[in-house]
Amino acid sequence: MANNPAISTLQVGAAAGAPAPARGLETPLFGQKLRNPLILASGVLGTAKSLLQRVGENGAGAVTIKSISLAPRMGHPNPTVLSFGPGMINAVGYSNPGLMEACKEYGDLRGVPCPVIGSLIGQKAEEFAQIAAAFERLDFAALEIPVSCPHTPGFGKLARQDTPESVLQILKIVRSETLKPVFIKVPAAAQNLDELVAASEEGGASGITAVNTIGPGMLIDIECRRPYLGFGFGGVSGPALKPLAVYAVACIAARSRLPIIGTGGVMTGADAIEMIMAGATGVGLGTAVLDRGIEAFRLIAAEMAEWMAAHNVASLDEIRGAARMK
Amino acid sequence: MRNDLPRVLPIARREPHSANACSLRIGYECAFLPGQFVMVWLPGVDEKPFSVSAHGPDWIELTVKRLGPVSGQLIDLPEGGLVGVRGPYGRSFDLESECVIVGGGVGIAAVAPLIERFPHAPVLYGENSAPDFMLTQRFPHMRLFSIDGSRGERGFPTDPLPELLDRRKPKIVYACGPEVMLAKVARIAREAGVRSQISLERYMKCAMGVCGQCCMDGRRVCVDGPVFDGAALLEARDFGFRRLDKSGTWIPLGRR
Repeated sequence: MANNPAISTLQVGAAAGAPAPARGLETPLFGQKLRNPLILASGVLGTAKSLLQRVGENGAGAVTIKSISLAPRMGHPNPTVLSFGPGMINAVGYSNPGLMEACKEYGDLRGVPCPVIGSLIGQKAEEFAQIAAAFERLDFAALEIPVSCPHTPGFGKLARQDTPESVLQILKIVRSETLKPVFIKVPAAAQNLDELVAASEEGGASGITAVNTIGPGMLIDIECRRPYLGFGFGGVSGPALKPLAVYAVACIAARSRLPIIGTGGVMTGADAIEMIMAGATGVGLGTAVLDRGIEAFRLIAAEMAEWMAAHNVASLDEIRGAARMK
Repeated sequence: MRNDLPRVLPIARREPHSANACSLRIGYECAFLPGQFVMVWLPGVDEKPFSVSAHGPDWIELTVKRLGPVSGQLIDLPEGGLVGVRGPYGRSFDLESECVIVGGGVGIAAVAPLIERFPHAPVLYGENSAPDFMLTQRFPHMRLFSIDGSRGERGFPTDPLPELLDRRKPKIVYACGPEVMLAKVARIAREAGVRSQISLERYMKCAMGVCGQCCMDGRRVCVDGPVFDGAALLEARDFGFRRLDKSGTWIPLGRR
């Protein structure tokens, strides 16, 4: 799973400027046209503007910052991110510099050659509102609210933010602070997915990101008889998550007209096409960066274009939702 | 995708340098290149990146100084104590025998495999004070510098570097140490028209290029580094100036 050495020898400066969009991959999202549907998922490489810029230069259609809370957070102790073969497991614990530092880091997004999505987290609805109000003044193309992290006490799943009532409460207060598109990031394998989507619609969400890592999950080292992760348990991502993500996207697409960012285990152009056929508009990439390097965006976009050319598909609109649940 | 979980192994040999520093040999089999690093896990405590200071076909050696809780507990582990290891990670030094090697503080560990490989190359090694020096018995030819003058020459290892580069005209300068020193090395090498390769340190989580915690001006120190071209670093906005801490907050580094 190491980065392909032939690829990783590319220097940072070699990819200066945004790559030209492949025809047919243009994707309408956030009230604008992305050059392709591939979106850097939150929590991956989104720690600094300079890295977002580099991901954009490597072909992403849009990028998402690492989630920001009101106060700085140190996150969980290491190990926080591990590759175990069939996938990745992480318990980063929402480390982030807090709202004030984030507003400095992302106060000027010029130079990032694609739209940037602001991800925000909170423990109380008012915290979401405060961050949304500050983010409203920045050049984020959209906001994303994960209610689904499986490994951080006080947030997401562990704080039961993944209920329709909580989603509605968060959205109502966030909506009063921002006119930007707001996406709700839902958990994997949610029993209440229909209700979460209905609450998102009622609360004024502009779209759904499906799905977060699945979990909690745990791996134990049998020599020292302890869990590998510093926090003990975490969220699982990568290829094994893909069937769950594709199913969630297909279900949401059958019931809602909200645009969906299909995220979970997409590693190749074929995976991305599959996500679009399930009904996704955008396609999130996370673990693919671990497997294929920062070049994953360019590579997967090229693979998508190649598949489309071979199948006489001129635009992703032709296949979007082709296999969604009836 | 690769299984990259830590392998938990006992400390095979412990060689103390002082109460606050030692070298630890671990029976970890890997293909290692000088300049690469490993992630070392103390189960139940934390996991941190460490330079590999020496290696054989079926072992690696870490040279560790007591700087924080993890390095402190690692130093205090007895032989047989368990640590987890994953890696090696990152880009290595290009190997060029006509070289000059500069080490500052615990950075000497990262360049130690180069000192071993190129025994005729001049080595400039600086510490704050006499008790801080490590590996001086293994490499008795190193030219030592201390800030307080208590061992070797008083001053910094970069002091004689311009003259040395001018006289020896090496093909490359290797350096690892405090970032302000590294910026100085890169600048001196550039002025002398000599290539430099610099090994950087950052707070790390994944070490596999996915989390972004070790960001240095759009580069990931874990996979794009830790060894970088010195001239390129001088153009990097963060080099010597700032680093991300565990939370992702910028911390100043002091380059002027």
